[in-house]
Amino acid sequence: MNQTERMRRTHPLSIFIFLYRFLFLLILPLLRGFLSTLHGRLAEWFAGVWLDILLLLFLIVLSTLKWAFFQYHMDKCHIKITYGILFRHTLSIPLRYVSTLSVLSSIWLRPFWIAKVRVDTAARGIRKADFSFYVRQSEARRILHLRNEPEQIRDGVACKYRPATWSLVLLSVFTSNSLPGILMVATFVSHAGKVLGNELSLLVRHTFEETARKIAFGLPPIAAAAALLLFIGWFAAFLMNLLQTRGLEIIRTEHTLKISGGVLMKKCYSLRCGDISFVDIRQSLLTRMLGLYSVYLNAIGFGKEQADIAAIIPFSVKSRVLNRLALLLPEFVPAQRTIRPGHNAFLKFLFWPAVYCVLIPTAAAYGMHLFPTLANIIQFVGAMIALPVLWYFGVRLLDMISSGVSKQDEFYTIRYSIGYYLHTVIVSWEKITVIDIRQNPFQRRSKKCDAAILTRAEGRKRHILRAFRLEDCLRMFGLQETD
Amino acid sequence: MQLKKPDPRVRTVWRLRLLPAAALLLYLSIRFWSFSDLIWWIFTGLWLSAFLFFMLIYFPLRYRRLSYALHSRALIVHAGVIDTRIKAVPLHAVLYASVLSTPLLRRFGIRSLVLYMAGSRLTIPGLTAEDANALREKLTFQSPDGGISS
Repeated sequence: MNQTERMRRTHPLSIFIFLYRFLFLLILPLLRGFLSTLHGRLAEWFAGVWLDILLLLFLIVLSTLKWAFFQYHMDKCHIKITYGILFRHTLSIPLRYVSTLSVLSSIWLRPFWIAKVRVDTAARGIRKADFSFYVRQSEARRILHLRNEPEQIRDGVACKYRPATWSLVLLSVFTSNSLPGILMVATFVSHAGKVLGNELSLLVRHTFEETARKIAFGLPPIAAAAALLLFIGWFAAFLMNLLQTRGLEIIRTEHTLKISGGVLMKKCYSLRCGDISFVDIRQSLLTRMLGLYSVYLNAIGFGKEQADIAAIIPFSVKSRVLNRLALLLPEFVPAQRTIRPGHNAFLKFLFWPAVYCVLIPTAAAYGMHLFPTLANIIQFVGAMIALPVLWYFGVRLLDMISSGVSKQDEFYTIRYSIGYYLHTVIVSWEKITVIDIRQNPFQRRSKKCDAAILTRAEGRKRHILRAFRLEDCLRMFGLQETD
Repeated sequence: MQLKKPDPRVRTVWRLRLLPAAALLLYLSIRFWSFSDLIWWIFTGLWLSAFLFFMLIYFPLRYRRLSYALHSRALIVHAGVIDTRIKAVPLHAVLYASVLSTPLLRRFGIRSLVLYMAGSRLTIPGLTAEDANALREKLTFQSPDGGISS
């Protein structure tokens, strides 16, 4: 191996990260100590301390060996990696097969000038990167620089986009989910209690109860507490989302898309445009009514972890979103729909949402009649359940009006809804793996069908079309007998 | 595009595969024989009806609906019994194909072709060995533009 291909080691801090992964093994000495204390056999525990120290030393040696045996070399052509202590692996990945090369620098590692490098290819699993390791920030910059290409200029305009702060705020407002926020706040309060003492934990709980009592005008206190909890969770998630996308910048080069941003975790991704599975223009019922759109990417190694950036164009009005999309990814511009659901498709779209909309208030009214003492709570719970169902009805109604498919060159634009979101997906024929057209006995009679379009990514993604005419569907995908 | 039917012997294979399960249920019915017990009647009636349904209705209908065709840009499979399906696999999406044969399939001279795509899989049952191998060759060695090489 010559000097230019010398293998490098990762940052020595990796030893502590490996050690952290083995920490669960410390449960054995902890358990021994706990049992000894419980039975008052402290002398016995002291006599066996050497075993605990030996285990700790073993973990340190194991982590150090793991670090020492992990070596890499990266240049413009390929990545070479060797790893493993007993089972040694040596592999080489051509850089052109790397779909996404990411550099992540978290707030905890920045003071030590350390960053995490993530290498993702179409191989291996969905949840984890193919390889990830910690290196100095200067080395991470060198690695990212390997895929550098000059910025593209189209019609005198640099293919570069930096969304305004208000657009990122809107994205965080509309995409923040209460549950992760609640979990985050709960973890924070619980950990703060452990670190700073029980008083702080009690103070937070007391403040929460007092606030819930104060805002409970005409509401059952439990409802006010639930609403407050949801709001706190949402606000925490909102802040996290905002910090994850602040400073977002997207630069298009000839073959790659460079995406960077984030405050707590600074992220920089280099994506091969040819590996983008599809572009998803996503809307909720509210954003559809406000005329706001946001654009997400589905590509191997992108949006894999919770802290990753997923949206490349945060919320903005239609014309601006389409302009930016045409600038960054001109291949993925949506086309006007050419086929739409067949006549009388409303049953397929609205039957079940309508049934839920009728059933829930009826069940609540019946419950209130049966248990008059619990009427207030049943009314509140019924309203809380009816609200998302009504929302769902609205989404399906809009889906019925707007869903459709079109084809431009070899790119398909598929408009449909899943759950509470309306999607406009632009996917190339190359990325479609299966077209699954299904007809139930009723649809056979009316010559209609549902179609699931499966696209190629690390995992399987389904795009569902409902109640289309079979003939239209076959013609659209070029599957007719005469094609 | 001409839709091709699989080998009719595949119906016999499907029926034979059902026999071990039916034999086990038959054993239970004989073992707990009791004309006066309502539960025995329900149990025996249910499995016997299900067995006859599969033998006389489901498998013939499944065979009738099953067909496939090699289109210029996709392999198309028609299948399904209650819900009918048309599955189209773009030729470029097939990563590899494998011909599956079990002792029972070999006894009847038929094979199954399994296509592997990124994140999904598709099986075409009841092909003759020649058809299965020919189709596997065609799907595995395509021209770079995704079409079938001549």
